[in-house]
Amino acid sequence: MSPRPDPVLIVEDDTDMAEVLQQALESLGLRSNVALNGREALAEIAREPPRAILLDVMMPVMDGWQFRAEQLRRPEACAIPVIVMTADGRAREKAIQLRAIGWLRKPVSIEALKLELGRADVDCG
Amino acid sequence: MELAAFRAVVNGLPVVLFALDARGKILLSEGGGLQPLGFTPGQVVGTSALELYREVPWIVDSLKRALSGESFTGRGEVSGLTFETTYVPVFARDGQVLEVLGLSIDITERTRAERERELLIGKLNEALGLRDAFLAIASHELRTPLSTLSLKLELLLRRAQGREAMLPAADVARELSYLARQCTRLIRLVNDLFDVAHISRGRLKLIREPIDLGELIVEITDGMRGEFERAGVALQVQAVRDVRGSFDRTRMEQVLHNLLANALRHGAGPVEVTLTCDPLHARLCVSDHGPGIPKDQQERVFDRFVRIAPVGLGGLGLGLHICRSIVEAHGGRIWVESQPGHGSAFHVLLPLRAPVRVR
Repeated sequence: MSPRPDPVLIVEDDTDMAEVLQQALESLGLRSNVALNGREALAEIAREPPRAILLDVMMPVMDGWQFRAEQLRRPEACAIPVIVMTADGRAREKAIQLRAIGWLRKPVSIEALKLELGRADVDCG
Repeated sequence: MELAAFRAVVNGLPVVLFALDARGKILLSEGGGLQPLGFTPGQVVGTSALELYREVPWIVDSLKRALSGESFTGRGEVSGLTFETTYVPVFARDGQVLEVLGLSIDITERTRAERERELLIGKLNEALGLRDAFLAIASHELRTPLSTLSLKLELLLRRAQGREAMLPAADVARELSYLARQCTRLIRLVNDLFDVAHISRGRLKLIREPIDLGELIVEITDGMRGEFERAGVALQVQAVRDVRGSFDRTRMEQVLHNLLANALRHGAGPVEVTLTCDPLHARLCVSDHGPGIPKDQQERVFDRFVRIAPVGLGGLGLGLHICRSIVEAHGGRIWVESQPGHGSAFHVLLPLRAPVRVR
């Protein structure tokens, strides 16, 4: 029996958004965990290392920028691919600045989600 | 032109025309600009300009520069007036300064207008900056519920089109209430935008009706319990009943909702709502135990577009501005008391038009 694949980590402060993202990933056959801010995300990574991270940029407590800086500093976490999610028109710029592998502009579609996860080598079946 | 006519013209203008000899003695002093300085034309001829203005350093400096042969224009204040003066040295054949001719123009009015204009431009830029920041936030705030709404609809549609079994009724109800919640969020945001447009044009109209504020508070807080529970924040309500007055129901609901939503979003539990009254006023207080608001920001939180919380905490920065407009339209007052680190308490004082108790 093959081991259970690692989850995708959703880092999103809006609980409604996090919930629907989780369902969307589930519909793609992917398991996921949720962190409501950057700090929780770091704890989640330590608890169960994810195969990819969906990262909202604008969050209270520890935002996407602070989280990313912290993630890149940690040898055990720095290689996990990040897909940035933003509501503004500068998603691509932000992704480049954050050295993310992909970007999603809200509203997010399932197709786009699948495509970006593909970049992070997450096969959605 | 005759000298007399020339004098008449110069003395009718807000200028001072002057000439000095090589040592600074005044040879000529004419013009309408002398009067506000307390001189008549010709009055100071024969005195030393350096002596006359010995207490005004910038004039002494300028005169010395001109007397040493420099030609220039400068401005400065004297006796509460602003003058712009052009100094022109006249040279002898050997290169020595013979005389200095000068023309001072009273530009007090112009300077005042310039300052006013700069102040207005500053304010305008500040307003534009706030507007731009607001547009960015508004787009973020609108996209979030839109995003959840569209993603959820996409998921449900896929399920409906797929071969999976139909959703159980309980799930349908749950999904629909989720969708309704996103719609409510969107509607509130759009309403806030409309309200602010109305308020800024002074078009906030109240539709007053007799209302028991105590009942209204219970109604609104009951309606929001679900949100508080989901966020794990305790909500405590202490409202006296029979607080009757003439209020706009929808608007008062909005005030309460905004204050509670703020406490939920920025504060920490428990959130306390209290309503008390005396024969003339109703006093509402919504307090939280969140990070509080720095002293210098406490008045600003009621301004349009002002958000002091970090971006990402939700909200358009319009809620408190709308609250204040509604409360003031009712003849009331709203203010905040907050100690950073110890939470905030928003107070609303509303006059009761109708008597509190009937004899």
